[in-house]
Amino acid sequence: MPSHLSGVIDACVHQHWRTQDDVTSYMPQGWREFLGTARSIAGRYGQISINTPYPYIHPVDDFLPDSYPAGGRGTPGSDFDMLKAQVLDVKPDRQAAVLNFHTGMFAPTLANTYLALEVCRAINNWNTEQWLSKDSRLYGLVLAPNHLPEEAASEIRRIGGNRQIAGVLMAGNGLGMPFGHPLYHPIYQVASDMDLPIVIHYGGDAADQLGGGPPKTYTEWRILSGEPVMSHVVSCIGQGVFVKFPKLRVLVTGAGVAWVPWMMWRFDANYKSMRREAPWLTKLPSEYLRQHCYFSTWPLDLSSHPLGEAGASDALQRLLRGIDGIEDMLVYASGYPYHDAEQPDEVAARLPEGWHDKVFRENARQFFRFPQAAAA
Amino acid sequence: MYNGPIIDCDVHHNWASERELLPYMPAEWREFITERPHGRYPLTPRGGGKSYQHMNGLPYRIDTVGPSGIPGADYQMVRDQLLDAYHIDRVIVGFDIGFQQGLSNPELSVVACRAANDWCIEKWLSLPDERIRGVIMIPTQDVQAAAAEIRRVGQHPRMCAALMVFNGMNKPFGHPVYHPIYEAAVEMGLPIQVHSPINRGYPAGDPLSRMEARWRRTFPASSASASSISIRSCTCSRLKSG
Repeated sequence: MPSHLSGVIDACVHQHWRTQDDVTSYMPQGWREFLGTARSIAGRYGQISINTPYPYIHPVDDFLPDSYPAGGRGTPGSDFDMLKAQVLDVKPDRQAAVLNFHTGMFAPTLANTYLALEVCRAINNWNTEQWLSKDSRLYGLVLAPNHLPEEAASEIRRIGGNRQIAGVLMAGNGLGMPFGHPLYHPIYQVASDMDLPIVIHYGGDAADQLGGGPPKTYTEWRILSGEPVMSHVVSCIGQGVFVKFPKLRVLVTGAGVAWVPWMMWRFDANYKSMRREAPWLTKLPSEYLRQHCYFSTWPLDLSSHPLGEAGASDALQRLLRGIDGIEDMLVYASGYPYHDAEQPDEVAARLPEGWHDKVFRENARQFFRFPQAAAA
Repeated sequence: MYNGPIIDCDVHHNWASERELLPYMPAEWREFITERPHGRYPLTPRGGGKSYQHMNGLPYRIDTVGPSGIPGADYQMVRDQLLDAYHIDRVIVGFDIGFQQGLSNPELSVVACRAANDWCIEKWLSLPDERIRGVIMIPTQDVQAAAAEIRRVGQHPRMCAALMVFNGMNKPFGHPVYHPIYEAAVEMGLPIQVHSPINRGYPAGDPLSRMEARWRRTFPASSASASSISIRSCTCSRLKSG
C-alpha cells in the first residue's frame, strides 16, 4: 500500500437502524402510538413503517455479501462493530468517515408532512446518540426535513453545533423541486451561517420524475438515477445559490463523476448566449462549479475497457481532465455497504497518483466542516 | 329488507406467500426470483400499497388474519366469514389488488399476471364451491400481452371479467392505447372491472396521508369511468360492430 494513502477520509458511508424502534424511541409518545408496535397483531402486523426504500431492487443483492450482520439476517450498515471493522479499521487507516444514512435519508418524502418532520428529527437524535458518540472518527450530516424548509433550518440550528456534524444532507426531495429553487434557500442560509456544506445524495427523487418516464428495471434506474442530481447541480448554479450564499459548498454523491464534464461544457456553452435570462449570475457556470461543487468518487465510472487494463484508467482520466481543476473537486467515498462500494486502493489505482492527496484527504477537508483538530 | 340473491363483486383473495406463484412461472423467471443470497425478488412493487399505510400497518379487518397470516388466503375463512355468513350467491375474487400489474419490469409483470391467473384457476376456481368466480389479471403495461392473456384464460367458465388496476400507460383507461384489451374482452364476452386504480400522480399533488389518499384515490377511478363513456359510446360499439 503506498504510504500517501494514509489518513483517508471517506465521504459517504451508510448507516441504518436495526429496527425502526431504534429511531422512533426518539419520537414523541403520540407519534409512537400512531406508528404502533411491530408484530403486535397476528405476529406480523401492528406497525406503520417509516422506511422509504428505493423503488427498484437489485437483481442479485443490494449490498456487499459480507455486510449483513446477525449471521446474515440483519440489515447492512446497522451494526456499529461491523461497520467499524469493515470501514474504519480497514487499511489504509481512516481519519474520518461521514455517515450519510441509509434509506432513512429519504424521510422528507414520507407522505405525511408532520410525521416526516418528526422522523427526521428522531433520525438526527438517533444518529448523534447511537452513532457519532461511538467513535471520534465518525462524522454526521443533519438530515434536513427539506419538505418544510423553515423547519429544516431550525433543525440545522438545533443540532448543527455538534462538532461531529460536518454537513447537511439533501437526498429525499421533499418539495419535488430542483434543489436550487428559492423555496429551499432558508436551508442554505442557515447552513452557510454555520459553515456547514450541503451533501446531495442521489436516489431521493421519485422514479416517475426521471426524464422520459419511469425506468423499467433496476439497471435502467441505477444508470438514470444520476439524472436528478444533474438537475440539482444545474439548478443550484442557475438559480444563483452560490451568488446568494458565497460560502456555500455542495458535494454530490452516489452518481459517479463522468457526467460532470459533459454537463459543464454544455452549461458554459449555452450560458454564453443565454445569460440575459439569469442576470444574477456574474461568472461562467464552470467557475461556480469549480469554486463551490465537489463530487464523490463513488461509484467511479467504468469505461468500456476491462478494469486493470491500462486503457481503462486512461479513458476515465482523459474524460475527467475535460474540466480543468477536476482533481480539486473529487472526494473519495466508499459507498459502504452498497454492492458497488469501493475501497481506497481500487479508486487510487484508477486516478493519477498526483491527485491522491487531494482525493483521499485534502478535498474532503476543504469541503466538510471538520473541527480544527481533525483538519490539522 | 332485501331478500333476493346477492352478488359480491369485489372480494380480495390472496396467496399466503408469493412462493405460491412460482410453479406457474417459466424456469428462468423462477430462477431470477429465487436465486438470490438474501431473500426472494418481491412480486409486489416497492411502496405498492405501503406509501399510505393504514393504522397498525394492517389495512384489513383484524379477524380476517387467518392461520397463514394473510387475509383472504384461506378459502374456509372466506366461506365462513362471508359466503355463508351473508348468504352470498356469487363472489368475484379479484386479488389484493392486482399490484403485479404495476411491477416496474413489464416482462416480469406479464409473467406474474399469467402466474396469478393460473394460480387463481387452480386454487380458487377449481374448488367445488360454485359460488366463486374470478377475474383475469392483465399486464396493463403491455396491452398486446394483456389482450393475449384475456384470450388465453378468458374461456374458463368461472372467469367473469378482466381486471384493470395499474394505469400502465399513464393514460385514462378510455385512451385508444388500451383498446386492444377491450377488443379481446368484447371478443370473449367479458366486461372490464376497474378497481380503484394504482395511478401515478394525483390531481393537485400527492395526498399527505392515508386519510386523504383514501378519499382521493377515487379520482383516478372517476376519470376511468368518465373515459368508459367513451368505451361505451364508441369503443365497444366499434369493437362489436367491427
